[in-house]
Amino acid sequence: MKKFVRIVSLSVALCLCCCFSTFGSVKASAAESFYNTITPPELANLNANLGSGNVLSSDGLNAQSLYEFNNTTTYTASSINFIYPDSWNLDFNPDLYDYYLTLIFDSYSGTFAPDFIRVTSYTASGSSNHNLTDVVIDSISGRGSGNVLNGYHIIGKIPDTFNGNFRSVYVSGTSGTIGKYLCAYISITQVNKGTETDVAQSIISAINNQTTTLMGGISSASSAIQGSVGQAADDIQQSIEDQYQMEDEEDFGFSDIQEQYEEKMGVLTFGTETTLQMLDLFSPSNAGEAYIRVPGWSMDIQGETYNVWNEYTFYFSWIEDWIPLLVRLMRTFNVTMFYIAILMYINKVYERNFLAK
Amino acid sequence: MIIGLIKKLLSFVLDTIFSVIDIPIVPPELVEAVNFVFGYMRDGMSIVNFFLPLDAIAPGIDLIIILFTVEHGYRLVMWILQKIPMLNVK
Repeated sequence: MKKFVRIVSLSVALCLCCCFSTFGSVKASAAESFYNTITPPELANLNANLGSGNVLSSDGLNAQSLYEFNNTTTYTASSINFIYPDSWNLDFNPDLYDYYLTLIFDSYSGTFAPDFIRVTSYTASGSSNHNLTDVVIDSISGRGSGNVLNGYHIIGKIPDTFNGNFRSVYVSGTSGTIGKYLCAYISITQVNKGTETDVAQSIISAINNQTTTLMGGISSASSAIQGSVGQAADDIQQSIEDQYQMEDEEDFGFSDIQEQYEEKMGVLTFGTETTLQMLDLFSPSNAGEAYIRVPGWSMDIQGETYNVWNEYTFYFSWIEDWIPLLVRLMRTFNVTMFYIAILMYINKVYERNFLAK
Repeated sequence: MIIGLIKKLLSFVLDTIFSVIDIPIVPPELVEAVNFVFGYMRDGMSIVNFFLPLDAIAPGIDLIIILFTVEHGYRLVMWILQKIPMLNVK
């Protein structure tokens, strides 16, 4: 009887494992296809438009859509990582300019509670995260019926520690779900450093430029989308005006106090951030593309440099493209083994606490 | 006005605390080194995710954490209760 119960339990567990792994594969493939849709055709233009050697417009600013995509799939997640297949070099110059990141979530539903938004910079030696500061989140309102676009827009300042090599944007809502969204829009606004009034005026002009660029960029889209994005740009402009044209210092809220004491908290802040980074490692949505990079090697002999081999990056997705069925089987097997190990652990806990005495 | 007062009060309290306690800052080199290591760990987790989808094993990890916490939490509480003679818990 005992054996029979065990066999039945194991069978049920195996069925559950298969369900979990299939579910995981479906979710993973959905996420992959989502990332794959982000193939920014404007990357080359961006490099040209925002290069440090380029002359900026007369008002001393420039704004360019990083990427606009009309994705018809709706995603539900507590966090989302917008990954770019290639790192994008902004020619970041924090001594001269401030940089603002704008995100727009359209066709949005659910509880919108992002805890932090950060950008990841990318170098040959690794990547590092930079949380946005002065983040403003507003709902996009004033839509009509029919092709209604209800959403949120987010604006935040990219910190000066960012090195300009853009890898990803990560929006995390650990205290609640980010909700369902589609048709996100991401842009960078470059603004001359100056007094607060100058900056406010510059940002307003930048938003105008951005709106023009955006409207041109999505001319093929429906008029409803154009209208909504235009409205979003107005909302962005309004929120930035609100942020910079303060009559009373109270309007700043508590962010200034937070910034003021964040440095004084010193090692404590570091501990919290490190812990959060550690937890983030296990976040499925935070997992990027798997690859192994073999560094190049060259030798200097008598003043001449000889390349022994060049740097080579191997992407694991190649295996999946080559033998997709085998990869799926391997994942299913791994997940099954994982859940069998868990069952053994549960059995051990049960025996330890209920049978030993 | 009320917010302003709260902010001033908060600043006063925090200033007082930080004038007594001087929390050392973390050297930038250390922050950089930690970020560097985390970069590698993130890349490593991406490889793990390729072979063992984190989406699929997340419920299992939750289950392990819950079981571990309940079991050891119960033992800890019972251990403390057993130290109190008047409760007579065995």
